[in-house]
Amino acid sequence: MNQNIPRFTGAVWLTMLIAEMFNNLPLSGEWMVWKPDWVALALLHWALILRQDSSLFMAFFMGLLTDVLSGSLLGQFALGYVMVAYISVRLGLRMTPDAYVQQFALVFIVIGLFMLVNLWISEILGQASGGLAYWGPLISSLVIWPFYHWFLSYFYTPRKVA
Amino acid sequence: MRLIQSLEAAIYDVDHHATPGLFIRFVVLILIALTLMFVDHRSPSNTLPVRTLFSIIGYPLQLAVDAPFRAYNVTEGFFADQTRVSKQNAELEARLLEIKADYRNMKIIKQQNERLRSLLKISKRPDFSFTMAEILSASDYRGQSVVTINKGTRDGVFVKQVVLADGDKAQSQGGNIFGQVISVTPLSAQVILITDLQHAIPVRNLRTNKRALASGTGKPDVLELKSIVAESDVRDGDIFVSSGLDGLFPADFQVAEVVSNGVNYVPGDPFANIKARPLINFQNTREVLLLWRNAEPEVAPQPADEPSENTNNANPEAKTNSAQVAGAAQ
Repeated sequence: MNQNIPRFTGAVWLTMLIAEMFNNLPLSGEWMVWKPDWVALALLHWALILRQDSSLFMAFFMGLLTDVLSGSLLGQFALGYVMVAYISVRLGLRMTPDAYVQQFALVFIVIGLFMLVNLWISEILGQASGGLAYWGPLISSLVIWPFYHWFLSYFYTPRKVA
Repeated sequence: MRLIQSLEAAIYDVDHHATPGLFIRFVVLILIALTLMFVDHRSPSNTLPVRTLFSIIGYPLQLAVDAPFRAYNVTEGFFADQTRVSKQNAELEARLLEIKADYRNMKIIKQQNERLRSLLKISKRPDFSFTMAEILSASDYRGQSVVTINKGTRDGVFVKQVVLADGDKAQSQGGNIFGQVISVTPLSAQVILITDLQHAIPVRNLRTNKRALASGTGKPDVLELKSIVAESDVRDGDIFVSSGLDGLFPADFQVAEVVSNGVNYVPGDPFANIKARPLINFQNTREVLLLWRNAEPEVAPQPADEPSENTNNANPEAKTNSAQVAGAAQ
């Protein structure tokens, strides 16, 4: 059986920081609608690759960082990312990690749930809702997923386990 | 039989729940997150240490994201067309001369104004000083309009400090109100824009002096003017300036302009429904001005009229003296 390990110490954290930088890229109005949550996708990637070794604490930490950088309610993204990490580990263990159809289904379910939770929190706080355009990142997440998954594959290496 | 046994073994070997401790960690972290959200919603000041810690951690990230844009600006300036730069330089020098003349004139008027004010025993107009800051990153998370700037407590920035920016139109250039500081870390500060859904600023109509409240809508180019009675006279193109009634924003800085066809009346609604455009292009602004109120020479608090009137009456001699001293110092 093969087990994946990070290519070097801190590789997972490095991808998280890169994802956080992508999240903070200033985009013009029409592109902003399609901006996927790169950190959530990276957490999904590591849940599939490292499986139960992926860390929920890291998800929580990245969530707090995103909360502070984006000015949302403290704990909102922490909640969302921990959910993403947990659900994708749980569901990822039940599927074939390399099957793309299953991956797309997983991305759709996990990112959809993540966005739904964020929407609930925003509605409770009485923040503006963007209408149907709110779900744009869900589609762009699916589109970008294969490329992102491939890009992040640099950061781990398979190792044979007896 | 053997086959079935080995198959069963294979099936049970793949234990879908073989993630010891994962569920417990999940529940604990979710509970922590929910508690944080609750506390942050109820009393944001309690979560300030966490926010400060994470903004310090995130500051290098924001710098890194900003670096390519900055580098592009620098190199673009470096390789820019020589003739264009020299032309621009000449234009700027001419403009500087004009402004110098204006400034000299303004200084005289200011002294005159101070003298007249002291004669009339009106408290002095507040004096301001400015520092420029650059916008590091902007987030437009669902109607929350917050930007991070590269000045913090090390530069004397404080919470509720007023932030100005250059206007987008020729006649409204100079300091227009941009927003206010909501949190500060040693190296950076977060500024809430006047277009944020939860922000409001008291304003007055420059033409009619009618007061109103300009509140944000979450959209970067729309402000709503509230509590204007339906009968009152508001026209397209009216400029609204800050009224200074909240004691936070200084008076007479431009805020918004009524858009064309922006005034609507709903039958039965005692208030007019007025849409205005902030006089700042928030998407293109990269530099902002931080504003400090200079310490005033008088001891009497500025916004309170009654006590300052009393002290004036009690000791008119000292007041005029101090005002004259202040005038002489300038």
